[in-house]
Amino acid sequence: MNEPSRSISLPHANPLTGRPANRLLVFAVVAAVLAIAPLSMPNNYWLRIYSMTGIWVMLALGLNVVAGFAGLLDLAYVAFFGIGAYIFALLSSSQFDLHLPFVLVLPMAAFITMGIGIGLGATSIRLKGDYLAIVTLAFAQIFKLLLLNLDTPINITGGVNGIFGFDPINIFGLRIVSPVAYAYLIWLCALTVTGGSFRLKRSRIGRGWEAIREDELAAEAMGVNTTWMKLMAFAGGACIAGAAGALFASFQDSVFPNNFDFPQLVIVYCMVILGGLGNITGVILGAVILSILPEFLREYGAYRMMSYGLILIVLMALRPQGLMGEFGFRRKTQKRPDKDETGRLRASTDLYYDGQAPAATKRYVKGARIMLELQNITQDFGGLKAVDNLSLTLYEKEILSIIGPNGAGKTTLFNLISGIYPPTSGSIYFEGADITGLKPHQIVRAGIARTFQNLRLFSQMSVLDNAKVGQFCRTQAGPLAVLFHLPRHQKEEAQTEEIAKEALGLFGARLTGYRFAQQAVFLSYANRRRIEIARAMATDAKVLLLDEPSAGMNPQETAEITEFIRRLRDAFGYTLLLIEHKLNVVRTISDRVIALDSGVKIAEGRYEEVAGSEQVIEAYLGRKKGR
Amino acid sequence: MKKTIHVSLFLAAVVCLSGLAHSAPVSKGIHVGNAGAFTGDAAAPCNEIFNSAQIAVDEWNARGGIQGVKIEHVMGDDAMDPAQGVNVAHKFVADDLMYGVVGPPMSHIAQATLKIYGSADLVTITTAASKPELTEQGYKHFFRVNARNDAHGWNSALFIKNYLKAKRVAVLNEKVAYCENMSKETLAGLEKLGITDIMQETIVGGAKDYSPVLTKVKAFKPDVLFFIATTAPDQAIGVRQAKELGIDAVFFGTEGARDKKDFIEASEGAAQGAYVYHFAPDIYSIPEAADYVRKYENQYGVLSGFGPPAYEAMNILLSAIDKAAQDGDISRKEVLQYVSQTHGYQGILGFPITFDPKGDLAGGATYFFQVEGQDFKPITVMTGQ
Amino acid sequence: MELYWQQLPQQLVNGLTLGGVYALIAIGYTMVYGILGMLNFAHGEVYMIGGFTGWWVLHLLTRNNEILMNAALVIALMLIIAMGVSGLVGIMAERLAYRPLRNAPRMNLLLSALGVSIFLQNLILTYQGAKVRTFHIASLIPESFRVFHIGSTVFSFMRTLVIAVTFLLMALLTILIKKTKVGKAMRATAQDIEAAAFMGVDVDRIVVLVFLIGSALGGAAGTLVGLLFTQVDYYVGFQAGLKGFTAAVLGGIGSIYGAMLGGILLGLTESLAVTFLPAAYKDVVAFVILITVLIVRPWGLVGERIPEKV
Repeated sequence: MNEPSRSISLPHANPLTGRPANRLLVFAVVAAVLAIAPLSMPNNYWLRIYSMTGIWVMLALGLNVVAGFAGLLDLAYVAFFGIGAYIFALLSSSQFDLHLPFVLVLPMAAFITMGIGIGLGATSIRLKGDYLAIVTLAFAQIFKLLLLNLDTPINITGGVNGIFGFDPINIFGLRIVSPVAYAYLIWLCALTVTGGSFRLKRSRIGRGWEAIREDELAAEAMGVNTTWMKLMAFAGGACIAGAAGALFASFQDSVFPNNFDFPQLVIVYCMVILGGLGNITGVILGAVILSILPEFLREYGAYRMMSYGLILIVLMALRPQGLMGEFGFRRKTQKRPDKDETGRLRASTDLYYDGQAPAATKRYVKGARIMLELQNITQDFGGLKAVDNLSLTLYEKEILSIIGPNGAGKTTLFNLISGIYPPTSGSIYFEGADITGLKPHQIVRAGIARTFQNLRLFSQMSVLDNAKVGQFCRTQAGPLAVLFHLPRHQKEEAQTEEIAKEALGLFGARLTGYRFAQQAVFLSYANRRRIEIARAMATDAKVLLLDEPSAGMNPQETAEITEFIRRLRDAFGYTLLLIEHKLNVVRTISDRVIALDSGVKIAEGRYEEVAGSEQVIEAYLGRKKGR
Repeated sequence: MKKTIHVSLFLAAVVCLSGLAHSAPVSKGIHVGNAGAFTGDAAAPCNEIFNSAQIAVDEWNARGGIQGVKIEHVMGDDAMDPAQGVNVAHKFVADDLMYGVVGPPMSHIAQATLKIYGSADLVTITTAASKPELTEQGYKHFFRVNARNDAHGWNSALFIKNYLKAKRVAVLNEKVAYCENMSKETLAGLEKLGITDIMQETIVGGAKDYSPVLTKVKAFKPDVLFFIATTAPDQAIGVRQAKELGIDAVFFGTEGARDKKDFIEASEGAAQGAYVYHFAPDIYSIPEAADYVRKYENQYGVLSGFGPPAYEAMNILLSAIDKAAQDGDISRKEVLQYVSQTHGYQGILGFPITFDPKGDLAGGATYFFQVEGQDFKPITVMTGQ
Repeated sequence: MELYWQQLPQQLVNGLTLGGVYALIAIGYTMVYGILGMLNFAHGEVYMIGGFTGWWVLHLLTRNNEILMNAALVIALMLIIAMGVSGLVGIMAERLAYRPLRNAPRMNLLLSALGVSIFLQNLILTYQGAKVRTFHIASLIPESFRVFHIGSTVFSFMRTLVIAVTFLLMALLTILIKKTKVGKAMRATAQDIEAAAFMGVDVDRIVVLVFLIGSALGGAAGTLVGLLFTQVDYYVGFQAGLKGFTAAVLGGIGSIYGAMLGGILLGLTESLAVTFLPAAYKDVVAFVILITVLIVRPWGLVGERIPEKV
C-alpha cells in the first residue's frame, strides 16, 4: 500500500464527524442553544412556533430517510404522521376509554406505524420511481377517506369532528403540560432523530440507501439487498413519522383529518428539497426556514401561497440541489497531489507509476479447479434468443475473454451470470454450487462481482463511498447496531474503510488522497472505469466479470489497464472473465478466448486459434471489413 | 432536566400571568383579529366573512375609531388546517393589543383553539361554527351569533314532518363538520318524530357532479330530499341535477343556499319551489341591513349568507371594546365581560341578539323559505315546538 | 337488489360522461409523461384556467340572459379560446419552469410542477376571487331540448355533447399522431429524446407542441365540464387533476389509448361504486383498483412493458 494516501486526513461532510474537539464544541453549542431557546422566546406564540419547528424537523428528517437517502418517492409519508397521531389519540383519550401512559404510547405509535410502513412497502416495493409515488399517493388518499368515514357504523376516528382532549403526558411523574416543557420534550426527540440520522448516513445502511438512490440496479449488482434495504427505509421513515405524530397530537391536544392532508405533505417535501435531499443539516435548515417564514406572511392570504409557488419554481431552477446541496459545513481544501511544487499539473500516468507498489512476491497461474460453469444456458427475450444453449467453463485463476460482434449476447451473458436476468433454461454453477436464479446480491455474496459496459457508478457519492458499498455484502450491522454504535459495527466500519482504501490504492494517486472525498461524477471517464473495478474488488469477490474495461481509454491508458488486469490475476489471484473489443488487449492477457455470434458459441481456444477460425473471421472480423 | 423544567414552568407562569392581567391604554392602539380559512377549499365564504367584518371596522374608523384611535383588523389565515389554526390563535393571543377575534368559522378549528383563546380570556365570536359541544365545555370567551346544529336539526326535522308531510326522506350531506353534524341532528329528530323510511348518503363538496348519488336517491323515491351542503353553488348543482334526473321529491336546502345569485339564478329555474332554512330572516327584507348590503355589493360583489353575521359579530365586539375603553384603557377581561352582557342588541340580522350564559345565541329560531320566482318567500318559523 | 339494477343504465350514462372528462384530462398528463417522463402536477390548474376562460367568453357574449349569436358558434368559440389560453399557459409553464430543469433529477421537476400548480391556483384566487362562477347555459339550449329519455334513462343534451366532443377531440389527436409528420416526430421523441434530436427532430419544438396540445385538451375539458356541471372555481383543478392523473396511470401512463380507457373506466368505477356502496367510499374503491392494477401490472392496462436497459 502506498503510504502517502494514509497520511492525508479525510475531509468531513458534516459537523458530527469532525475531530473530537470540534465535535464536542458543536455538541456544546447545540445543547446550549436548545437549553436556552425555550426560555428566551418573547411569548407563547413564538414558543409554539419553536415547538412546531421541532416537530417539523423530526418529520423532515424522517422523510429524508425515505426520499433523501433511499430516493423513494413516498407520498404516503404524511399518512404515517397521521397514523402515529391517531394511535396516540385512540390509546390516550376517552375515545375508547383507554388511558395508557405516554412512555408506552410513544413507542407503540412509532412501532405500529413502522409495521404499517413495512406493510405498504412490501406491497409496492417492486414498483419503481413514479409508480411508487402513485401507489403511495393513493394509499394516502385512502387513509384520509378512512379517517373521514370511520365514524360510522362504529365511531373509531371521530370522522370530521376528530378526537380531542387527551391525557396529559406524564413521564415517570414528570408532567409535561406547560408550553416550555413541551418545547424541551419535542426538541429532545428532534435531537435524537438528528443524531440517529447522522449515524445512519455514515454507516453501511446509509451507503446502501444512497447506492439505491443513485442506481438501484448497480446497487443490487454490488451486493446490496435492495428489497430489504428499501423496506428498511420505509420502516425508518414511518417510525419517525409515527413518533412525531404522537407528539404532535399531544401538543395540539386534538387530531383532525385536515391535519394530515396533501398541503402538509407538500410542505414536508419542500423542506427536504429546500435543504437538499439527503443532506441532514440542510434538511434541518429547510424545516426551520419553512416553519418560521409562513408566520410572517400569515396576514396576506393568497399572496402567501403564491409566493410559496414562486419560491419553489425559482429554487428548483437556480439551486436544484437545495440550499445546502452536497456541501458540508467544513469542507477543507486539500493539496492536490497531482500538482508539483511549482503548481504545474503532472500527468496522471506518471503518478500511477510513482505510486506503484513493488512487484508482488507471489505469482498465480491458471489452475485446474472449475470455478464457474454454465450448462446449456438459454435466454429468450420473447422469441429473440440473446443467448442460445451456451455452455462455458471457467477455471480457477484463469483469464477468459469473450469476443463477438455487437449484439452477439456478450453483455446478456454477464447479466445472466450476475443474476440480473434469470436464464430461460439451463444452469449455472459456482464452485460446484448451483447459483441459477439467485438474486444479484446473493451472487455477489457468493463471490462473483462485475463491472458495467456503460458505467454505473453511484455518481453523487464519493469515490471512497463507492468502493465502500462493495463491502456491504460482507458486513452485517443492522439499524440497532448502527444507532447504538455497537463495537461490532465500529469494527466492521474500520474493516470496510481499510478494504475500500486498499482497492482504490491499487490505482495509485488517481483514486486516493484527495480523490477519496470527490464525487464520482466529477472524475474522468477512465478513472470512473477504474473505480468500477475497485468497487467490484471491494466485494471480496473471487471472480471478476469485466465488461469492456478499456472502453474509452487512450492507447497508453489501455496498455496500463491491460497490465493491471494481468496483475489482478498474477499478483492477487483473481479469476477473470472479460468482454473486450480491443483485440490486442485480448491477445495480450487471455489464457483462453470464446467467440460468440447471435448468442451461439462459434469458437473456443487460445487466441490464435479463435482469431484464425474461419467462422469468427466471417462473423466478426469479416463483417467489420465489409462495412 | 427536571430542574430546568421547574424553572421554565415558573417562567412560563410569570409570562402567562403578566399576559392575563395586562391592560393597556387605548392610545397604544386597538387590534381585532379575524381567524379563518382565507386560502384553500373554503376561501369563498371565509373571505366574505373577512370583508363584511372589514366593512364594520371601516365604519367605526370613519366615525373616528374608538376614542380617536383607529382600529386595526388583522387577518389570520389557517388554510383549514387545525395546526395552523392553533398558530393563528397563539399569534393573536401574543398580540398585546388584540382585544377580540371574529371566528374561527370552522367547528374543528374552533375546537382545536378553544383552550388557547380561553386561557388568555380573548373573546372569540364565531359566525358559523355550529357544533353543539363547543359551548358545552365551560369556556367563557366563546360566543356565537349563529344557532347550534341541534337547534336547526330539530327544527328542520319538525319542518319536514309537519310542514312538508313527508314519509320517505333522503338526506345527503357533505363530509364536513357543519353538514355532518347537521345531518346527525336532523336524523335523530326524524327518528324521534317516527319517520323511519330514511336514506342517508354523503357527497364531496366542490365535486360538481352529484349525478351518481342522485341516481341512487331517485331509486329510493323519497318525498323530500334534504341536501345538506355548505355553499350555495353546490346546492345549485344538486337541485339542477336532481331535476335533470327527474327526481320529483321536494328539494330542501340549508342556510348556505339562501343566496339569490348562487342558488336561484345559478340553477336557472330548477330551484323553483325548493325550500331552504336560515337562522335569520331575509337580509334583503331588513331595512337596517340595506346600508351594509349596498356597501358590500359595491365593494365585493354579490352577498351570500355568510357575510351579515360577521358584520354583526364585529359590531358587537367593537361595541364591547368601546365600552371597555371608556376609562382610558382596555383589558381583555373587560371586553369579555361586556360581550357576555350583550342583551337585545339590534343589528342587521332582523332579530335582537342576546347571549345566554354558555355563549350561545338565546332563543335560536329557524326560518324557512321557499323559492318563488327570483326570490325567497318566508314560509314559517320553527322554535322547537 | 332490484333497487340496484334499475339504476344501472343511468349510472352507466353518468359514468361514461364523467369518464370522458377524466380521459380528456388524462391525455394531457400522459402526453407530457410520454415525452419528458414527468408528472405535470400543474395540469389540473391548466384545466381550471380553461374553465375560467370558457366562462368569460360565455359571460362576454351574454347580455340580459340572451346570447349575442348562434348557440353553436358560442360553444365553439368558448372551446377554441379556452384551448388557446390553456395551451398558452402550458407552454409558458414549460418554458419558464420545466425547460431549465430538463436534465435535473425527477424529483426537482416534480417539485417545480407543484410550484407552478400552487402559483397558478393562487394567482386565480387573487385576481378572480374565490367565488364560484356559474355558466348560464339556459340561453344556449332551449328548455324543451335539454333532456330526453330512452326508457327510464335520462340523457341530457349537454352530456351527449360532452361525449361527442370528447370523442371528436380524441379522434383528431389520434389522426395527428398516427398520420402526420409532426406526429411521427412526437412518437420518436417519446421513444428516445436524445436519439430523436440526433435524427434532426427539433426536440424543443416538439416538447412545446406536446405541452400545447396536452394543455389545450385540458382547457377543453375545463370548458366542457363548465357547460356540463355549470360551475367553475379556482379550486376545481386539484380534484380534477388527481382524477385525471389516476386515469392516466390506470390506463398506462405514456399511452394515449391507455388514458382514454383509464378515464372511462375510472368514471364507470365511481358511478358503480356509488350504486353498490356508501357514496363516501367511491374514491376508496377507485384508489384500491388503482393500487391493485399497479401491483399486478405496473405498466397499466394498455401501456407497454419496457424491460430495463442494462
